[in-house]
Amino acid sequence: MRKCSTFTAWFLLLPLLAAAQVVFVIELQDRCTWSLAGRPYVFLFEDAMVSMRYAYHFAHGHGLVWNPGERVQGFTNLGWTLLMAVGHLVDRSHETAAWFVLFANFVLHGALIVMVFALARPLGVALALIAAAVVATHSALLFWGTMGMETTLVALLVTAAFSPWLPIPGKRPGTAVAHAPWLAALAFVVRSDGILFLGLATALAWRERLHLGKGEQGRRRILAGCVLGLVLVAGVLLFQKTYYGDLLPNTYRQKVSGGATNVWAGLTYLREFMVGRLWNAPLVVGALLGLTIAGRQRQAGPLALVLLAWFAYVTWIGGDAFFGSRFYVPIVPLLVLVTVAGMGHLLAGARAGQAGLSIFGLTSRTSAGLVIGFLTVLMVPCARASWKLHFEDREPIESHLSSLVVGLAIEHSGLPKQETIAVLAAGMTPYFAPSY
Amino acid sequence: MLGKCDRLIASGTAHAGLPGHRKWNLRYSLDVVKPQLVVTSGRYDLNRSDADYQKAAATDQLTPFVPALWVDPSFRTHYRDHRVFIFFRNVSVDTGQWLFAREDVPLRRIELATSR
Repeated sequence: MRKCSTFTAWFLLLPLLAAAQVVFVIELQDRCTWSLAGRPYVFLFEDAMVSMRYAYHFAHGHGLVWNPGERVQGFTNLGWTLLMAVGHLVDRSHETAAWFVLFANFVLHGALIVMVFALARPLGVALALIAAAVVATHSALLFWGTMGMETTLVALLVTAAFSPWLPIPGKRPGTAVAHAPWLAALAFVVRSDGILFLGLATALAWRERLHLGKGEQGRRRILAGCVLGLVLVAGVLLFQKTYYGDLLPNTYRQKVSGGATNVWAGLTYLREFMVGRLWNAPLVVGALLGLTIAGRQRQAGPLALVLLAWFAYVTWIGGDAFFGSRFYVPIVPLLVLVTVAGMGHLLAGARAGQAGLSIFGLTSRTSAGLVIGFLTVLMVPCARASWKLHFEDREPIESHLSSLVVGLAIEHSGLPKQETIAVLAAGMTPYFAPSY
Repeated sequence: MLGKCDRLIASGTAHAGLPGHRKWNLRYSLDVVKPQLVVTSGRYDLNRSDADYQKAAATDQLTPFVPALWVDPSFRTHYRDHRVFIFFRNVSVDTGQWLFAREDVPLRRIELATSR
């Protein structure tokens, strides 16, 4: 393969990036904006609107609370909720403040595409472009990003944290692992489930520290990274304990305690991720192949552990109530990168005429072609699912508009402001009725 | 009502249902909190009998809290006959969530267009 200059490689990414961002804007406009009697409304996904209500009250001086005076942590995404609060400081109107969150996700989506391209770049420009394209058009990433969830930011942080362990040919984790713990800690700040990533990143970084000689500067950097990560987590927990009187968010108890977990539902959720409407089987199969092919590299084991631990965690908690594989989004870029890393190993082996991988007694070149062809065929229904979701089913979700209308109705009902309103579907309705 | 922002409900025992939607305590929500308005999480078929809804509340594996609310004794007594209708420019809006007022709250209609 001819070498491509760095400038040319990045120049080739530009059209892809531009197209991806245009699709992003079209999507969020169709999904999250609406007007009633000529007045615009911008809204996010139902669960994101729970955090938005906290952010609204925070920005209006009532504290990070659902109802003024009640300190219960009904959200699991502290960092994202604070970003939403910034949005409410920029735009004080609760009717349109959500645009700030959507703009943040627009920027983050672009940043994620660029980061994936940069990480896959050592594999060659073609594979880097493939990785960037898959991330740019990934149904779940786009779906949740354009619905204002924190998924894109968590994916960005998790990918950055575990990037030193990507099994790129000829690459070693090195002292870059020093950044893993604090990046994973930031993922925890953005969403509490990130604690699992933090635990893994800290353990893996510490393990890498043992590979370095005594007195090497890298050891000190890794130690500093681990300490910084733990300080960040301690800060969040201390805040939660002092402000809400509880180390853990109320949502943790609501979802995980009292027999609320359901492994069977988690397995169903996994099946939905793999072969459901969004069809992510190619990514999982590709990552498995990638890890197997790159198995001789020291990074493959730790990364396999990270992915396996996340699949196990999501299965244990029973997955999510909603369509779209939201809980798997944080690891999607890693799955993509491991897949292309495996392809990179195959192509490098085939080019060098190494035995590398040989199936059915075929040459390594033919074997490489077969594996890549197999993954390409698998990608067809994946691309079809993405196309259908993004270009055929783009209308705003009916229940969201309905919740919005009910919220507006309550806000203008004329009831005294201290009245109590009980809501089954949390989020949208209470957000658009901030006086109650 | 599903405990996201309520400690008592969140620390209770889980029912059947979708992940994150498995905890509710209608005795507490309706008899202790006594909300002036209740917003449901779906429409109801008025031709279906209470027995049907009771059966659904016991067998639905996804959102049993929807039928459970409809046939809850407190809801039936204090809310069910007091639906609040939403209108936009005098046309009734059929929202996916229904709104009910407690019997002592004199609200039966909200006009969106004129209330702006």
